[in-house]
Amino acid sequence: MKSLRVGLIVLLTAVVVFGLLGPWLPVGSATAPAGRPFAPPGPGHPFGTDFLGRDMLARLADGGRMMLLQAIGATVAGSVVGISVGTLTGLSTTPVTRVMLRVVDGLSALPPLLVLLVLATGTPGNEVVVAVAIAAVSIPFSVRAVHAATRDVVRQPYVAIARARGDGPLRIVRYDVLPNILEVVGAEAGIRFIAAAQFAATAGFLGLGASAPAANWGRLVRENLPGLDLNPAALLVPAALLVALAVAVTAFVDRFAAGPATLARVVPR
Amino acid sequence: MNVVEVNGLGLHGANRAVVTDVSLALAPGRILGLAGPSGAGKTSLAHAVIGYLRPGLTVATGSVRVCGFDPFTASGSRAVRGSRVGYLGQDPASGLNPARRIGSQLAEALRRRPGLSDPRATVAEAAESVRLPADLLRRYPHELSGGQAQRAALAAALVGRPELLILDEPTSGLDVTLRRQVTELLCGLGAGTSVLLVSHDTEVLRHVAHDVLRMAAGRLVASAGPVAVPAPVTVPAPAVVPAPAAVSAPATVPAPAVVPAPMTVSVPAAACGSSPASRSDTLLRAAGIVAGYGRATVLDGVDLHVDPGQCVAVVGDSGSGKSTLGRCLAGLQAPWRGQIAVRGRAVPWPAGRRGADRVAVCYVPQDSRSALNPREPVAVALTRAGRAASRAGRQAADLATLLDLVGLPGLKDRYPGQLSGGERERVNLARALATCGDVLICDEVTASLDEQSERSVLDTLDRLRHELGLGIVLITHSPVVAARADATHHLAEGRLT
Repeated sequence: MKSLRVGLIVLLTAVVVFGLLGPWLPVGSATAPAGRPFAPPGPGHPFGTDFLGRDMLARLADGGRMMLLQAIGATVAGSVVGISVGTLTGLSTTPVTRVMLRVVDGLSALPPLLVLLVLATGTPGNEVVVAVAIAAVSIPFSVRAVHAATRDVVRQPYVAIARARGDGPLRIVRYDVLPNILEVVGAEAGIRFIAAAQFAATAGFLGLGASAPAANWGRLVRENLPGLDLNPAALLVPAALLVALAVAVTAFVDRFAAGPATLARVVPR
Repeated sequence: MNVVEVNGLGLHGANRAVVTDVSLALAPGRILGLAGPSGAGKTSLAHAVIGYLRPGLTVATGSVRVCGFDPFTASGSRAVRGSRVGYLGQDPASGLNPARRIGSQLAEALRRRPGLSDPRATVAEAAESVRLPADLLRRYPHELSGGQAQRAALAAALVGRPELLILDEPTSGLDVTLRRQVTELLCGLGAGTSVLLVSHDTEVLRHVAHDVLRMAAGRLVASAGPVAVPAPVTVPAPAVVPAPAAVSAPATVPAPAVVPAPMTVSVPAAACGSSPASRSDTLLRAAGIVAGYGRATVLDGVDLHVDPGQCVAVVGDSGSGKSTLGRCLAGLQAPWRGQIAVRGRAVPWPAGRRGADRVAVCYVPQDSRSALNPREPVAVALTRAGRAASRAGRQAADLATLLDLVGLPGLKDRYPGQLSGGERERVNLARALATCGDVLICDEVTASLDEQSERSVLDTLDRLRHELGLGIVLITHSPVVAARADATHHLAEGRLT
């Protein structure tokens, strides 16, 4: 079990490093044709070529960074807002926090794709706006998850005792709430990161953000779908990268969020 | 075939052995008592019998067999848990599912016993056998008192008619009468059920157990063998009810039950020589406290006052509202009506709104497990409480002194999950002391301690109230503990007498 988890974390690191550093790798041009379309893997082209005859390896190396940065940025922003608003509304029920929750709920009613389209078409070609849109649509989920987890902790007697002796909300969040909701926060951020990565891939496919020749793992899947028979690698490799990212992120989050003396082993050997 | 066979078992934590070379055998129908001081490894050993190790522990040596199965394997633990073994843990209130009614939880435990014609009647019978009133079956665990939750958990362990019952301190929160009834119940289990009974209560062990094994520092120290009164099937002699005066520790002078002038009570020789604080104003005065849950009134006009250096015991039947009173006094729960004055100043609820008086009344809760943050080491918990005291303008005691006071040196880096039940209770006490309050409300703080630790904790409390003029409210079911107090009040039908 442990070696599996270590393996997954190594995989995550590899995928993220490849994605982030890809554009600087010496793998040739991501836009210049290098052979006939949908050529199968061969010498010089380990993953074959895509629908315009461009080297798949170069396309993959080029297509990860912006998507990952958008996903990471949107996840971090979502978590920051989610943790602040979620713990605040979970800790005390005042008219202000109730209104905050209702606003967040209202936000979650907006269709994510519509938000993305409206924001991104307002400023064509801007990748940052795509990240902002992804963050905006994911915040309600983060707030709700953190809020519910906080409510659970706040009901515990140790919080009642801390409150009784006058510990303020910040101290209670820092010592009592955060350490005990870490697993929920981590798992929630992980699943939101995967959704954000998929969303960034979708944005690429729709031509939002940087336009056509720019690569994006999500866009690579769609672009090369017609060539499944000729060069399956052109479709499967970017899809596999997205899957590996998803699985490895959740494994990493589990590892990170497992605190001391919390994981009870039912069958130890 | 023996129901339980433990051979040379050693359990190791990160840097210390918790259980070392323990061998024991339990024959069918026998009751084996496991005694020993707090932190001796009794609970870890009982857990090992059902194949559970708390995080960080590993089996270093030896083996465990329960009904021929190895509980540490997946198939073995499936074969053993729930069907062949019934388990009642310490802090039973934390062991009950908070989201389900007591009756449903008992019925759930019954599912392991297929082919019953009338499950409802069996559940009612199990509740009756532990003297749990039938109307409590409709309640949720948080609506029960500590003693009631303990009996509900015991009923859940019994209802499946297991071959082996593992009971971890089954009587710690029960008063004398209930304890006798539970003892009778255990004696009447008959040949079908073997019992591994972990308890610090020598009275109970003496009357129930066929054999008593004693543990200290993770080892079996001496097998007492068949004990003097091996009459387990018959109803135990009335000697289970200890006469309070005879059992009370010799160092104390039990005051008469009339409310005495606190400063004139003779100071035990063991206490320090410094004179008690000269303040004569009442530390805490509660008047006309009315409180309850839903439509049920639990407290119906309670008056109580605590003077500096005074120790007031509140005794009463299980479920009479002792903890509710404690929580109201400490400001954790707002009563429906009534006033509380600290040093003559009326204070509001909740305690957080009491300004500089917010730490004046500290509560040491009964369920020691849920009162400690599971992700917070002992040192951090105590330091935080100390900082709260500094903010309220009090001088905070340092960490080492606090841990020494409660007899737990060297535990500062442990998490609550790595502490024994008795250690957790004392950490709770240390945390309350760290806030330097004027009045300490101790809710059954010694319930799961062995006699020696109980005496040392009570001595500490005595010393503190004489040295610092601390007022203490001892909520207890034990006549031994109540005998330490200057005044004893009985809580019955919502009123204090």
